[in-house]
Amino acid sequence: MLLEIHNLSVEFESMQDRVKALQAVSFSIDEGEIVGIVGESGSGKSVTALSILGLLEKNAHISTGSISYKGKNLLSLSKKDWQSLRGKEIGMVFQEPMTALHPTMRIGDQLAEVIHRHRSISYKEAYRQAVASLAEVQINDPELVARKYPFELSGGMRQRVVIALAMSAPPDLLIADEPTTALDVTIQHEVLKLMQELAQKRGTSIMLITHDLGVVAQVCQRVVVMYAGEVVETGTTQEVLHSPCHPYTKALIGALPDLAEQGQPLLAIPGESPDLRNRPDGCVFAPRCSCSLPICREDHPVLEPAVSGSLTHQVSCWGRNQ
Amino acid sequence: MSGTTLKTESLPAARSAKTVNPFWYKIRRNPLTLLGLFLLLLILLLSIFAPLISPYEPTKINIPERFAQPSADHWFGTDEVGRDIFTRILYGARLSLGVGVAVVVGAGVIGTIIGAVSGYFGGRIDQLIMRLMDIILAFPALVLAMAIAATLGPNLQNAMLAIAIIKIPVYVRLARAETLALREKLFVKAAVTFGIPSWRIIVRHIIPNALSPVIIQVTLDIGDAILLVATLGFLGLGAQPPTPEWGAMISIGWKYLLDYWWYPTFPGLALFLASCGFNLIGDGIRDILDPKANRS
Amino acid sequence: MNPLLAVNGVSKEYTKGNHRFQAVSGVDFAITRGETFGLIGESGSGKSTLGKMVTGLEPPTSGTITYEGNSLWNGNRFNRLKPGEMQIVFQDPQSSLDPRMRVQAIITEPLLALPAAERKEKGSKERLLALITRVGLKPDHLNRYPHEFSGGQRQRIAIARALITDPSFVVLDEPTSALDVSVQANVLNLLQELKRERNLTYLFISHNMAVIRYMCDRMAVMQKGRIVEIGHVNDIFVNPVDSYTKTLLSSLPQLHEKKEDIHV
Repeated sequence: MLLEIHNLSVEFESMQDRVKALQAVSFSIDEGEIVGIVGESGSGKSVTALSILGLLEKNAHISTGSISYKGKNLLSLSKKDWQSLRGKEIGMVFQEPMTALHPTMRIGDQLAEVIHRHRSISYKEAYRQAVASLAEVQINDPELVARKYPFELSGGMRQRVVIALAMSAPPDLLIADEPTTALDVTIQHEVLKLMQELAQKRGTSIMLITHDLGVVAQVCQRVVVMYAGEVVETGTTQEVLHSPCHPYTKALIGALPDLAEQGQPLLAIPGESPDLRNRPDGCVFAPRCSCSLPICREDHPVLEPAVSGSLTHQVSCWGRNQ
Repeated sequence: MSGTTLKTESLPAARSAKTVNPFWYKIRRNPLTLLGLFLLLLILLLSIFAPLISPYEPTKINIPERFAQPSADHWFGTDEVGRDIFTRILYGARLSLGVGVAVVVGAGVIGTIIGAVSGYFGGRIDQLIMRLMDIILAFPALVLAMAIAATLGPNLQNAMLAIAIIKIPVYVRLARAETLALREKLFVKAAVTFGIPSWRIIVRHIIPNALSPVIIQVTLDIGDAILLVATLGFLGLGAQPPTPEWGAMISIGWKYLLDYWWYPTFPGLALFLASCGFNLIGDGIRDILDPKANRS
Repeated sequence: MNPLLAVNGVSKEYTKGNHRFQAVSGVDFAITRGETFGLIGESGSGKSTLGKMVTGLEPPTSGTITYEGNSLWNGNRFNRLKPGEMQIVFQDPQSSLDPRMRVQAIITEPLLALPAAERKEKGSKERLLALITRVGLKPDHLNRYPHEFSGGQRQRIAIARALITDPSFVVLDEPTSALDVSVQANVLNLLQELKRERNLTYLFISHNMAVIRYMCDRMAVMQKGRIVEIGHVNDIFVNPVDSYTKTLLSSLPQLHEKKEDIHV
């Protein structure tokens, strides 16, 4: 396993209160694998990413758990070691590509610098490769784009540059937080294809955080479904999307207009997402669940095989056998 | 849903912390703002209770006791016609505070309205108004105030008007900048699609949302306005004797500085403390409300 | 049948210094009473600009927009034929509600444009309470401020505000794009129900094809200011003619590989 997160809990403390953003989260990512982390706002998917990157804000603290990357626990690393790991082995792509680009440096120079540092070649050669890498991410007229500044490019172009950046110095693990959410569908399609290539050709593992199940279906091998800071279901994409087991996953799929018939109401989840300051004793989803049992409100379920004997498909639900 | 609300009690630490008002929390952490607040409160209380604190009248002439030294009877001494200086400072505080607040609030209200109208409509009206404001701003503030006050005739009302005129452009610019940003907000666009008349949109949406920077500016400007009123008074263009106005007191008193040091010194000190107090509070409020200053 | 809204040869050109930008060029379409018409396109396709021209925010450079046969624009002047007849729900409920106003004042705001008698009748307490409960909020929410609500609840407030004047035509400009999937489902269901109950006509602007397919009867696909394809939703999804429509459809990530799965 390249990355193994075990029992990770994260709390945020503010002047007024304490918010438990993550509660005993466990999952792993294998070499060359694309794993989708799916959830709605407040599900803790971005907090998970920031924990791995060591970029949590000062008021957050990890109360339990471990994050092991290539066998070593990231949480015991010094700040400096973590930072160098972030530059070299763990890459990141965010929803807003501007955060990953130097605002006052030309695109070509940014890419060339990374390539120059990564491979032992001359800067001139690195620049040539930088232009080539722009062409590789379907940018027309790469020479021209290489001479531009980030602010001169559209959002889709910028995101492609960020991907090119990630590809020219391929990280072992790429953490992508809603990389295509701000993009048009046609560009999203291309960016996703590029990420798939990155995983297949260079063996990069990708943790793809998204709210879009369609995106997951297109590129991910495995899915982790999160709700209110917990993993509620995990399995191969096929298992989770075709035979979802957790009522939340079912509701999430049923809520999509993609599969609904015109005129038929969409499956809606009643109520609001829970108050993370006061987690219920039982299942976090129980207050909104349409098939909750008495035990759901009293005892917290744990991840267990969805079907007996299944190694991949796991679900945290008391009603899984019903 | 009820399950989540039921358990609000489970975190006692969180609840007790919640009672801290963040505004006061921040003010308390800033000793200079606290000092400013203390000064202002002191001056305010002294001026309100002036008749109770002092047995003297501010304008009653008492020639036998002229130029009395500071003593138990006359804490800050007396002036050239025997009036108690402490008493005159207390009544002067009423005047200074009142005039300072009135002038700045007046300028703020007028400036905000002009700025909001100018920014909302844009085009030629905007051009015209902003050029006019540029002209006012092009003059040194004090020189322009003196010129206006001198032209209109030296008295307190005209001095106030002069100071208000030189303060208005600041508020016009502030409100206009806010308005330009607000005009693009969806709730303003929504109001346009409802068919609500422009003046109503300005009153309902633009002005209330543009107000916070204006309020900060007002607190910053009051100290300045008090100083300007005193300056005009000192130059003989403001309040006229025997009105107990700090600037006018200093103006007469400084001639006696060498022989009767207390005469100009105490009004000067009062002026210094009052404008200091307002500036400290203004800075404090700006630090609290300005998100950029917050981050550091 | 006469169209409720007709857009004929409408163009919109923006000029910035020497730079000219054609946001919409020569667009025609018509919406009949009672239908939901979808306008789909990617960013910069001109779909939102069209929405602005229909609701009176931007005048067209050329062409006519008529509502019930009457022209909406007279040069740069918007003819508001009957106040409250046409309303709009914006994408971002974060910025479409004035943060300093209470929910009651927000919802009743469109009534300010109506004549006094009508304002009184439509703003009655019973109507307001019925409306707020109809969109799924509680009467005591009326005294709160927008920041106390979640995104989905804010969009419900915006919908209530659009319906207070009893409009017949509502422009929905990406009404669910800023919302989570499960919240989007709630809002889409509500919009469908309201349409049926109140006999509304919708112009639904969106970049999300799944949403358009689910919500609309007919649709127009826009690209770079032009309509490249227009027709019934099912026809376009099953048999797209234009190459751009085909690209759009093939770019849509599919939940399940096989196409039969989608048409349940």
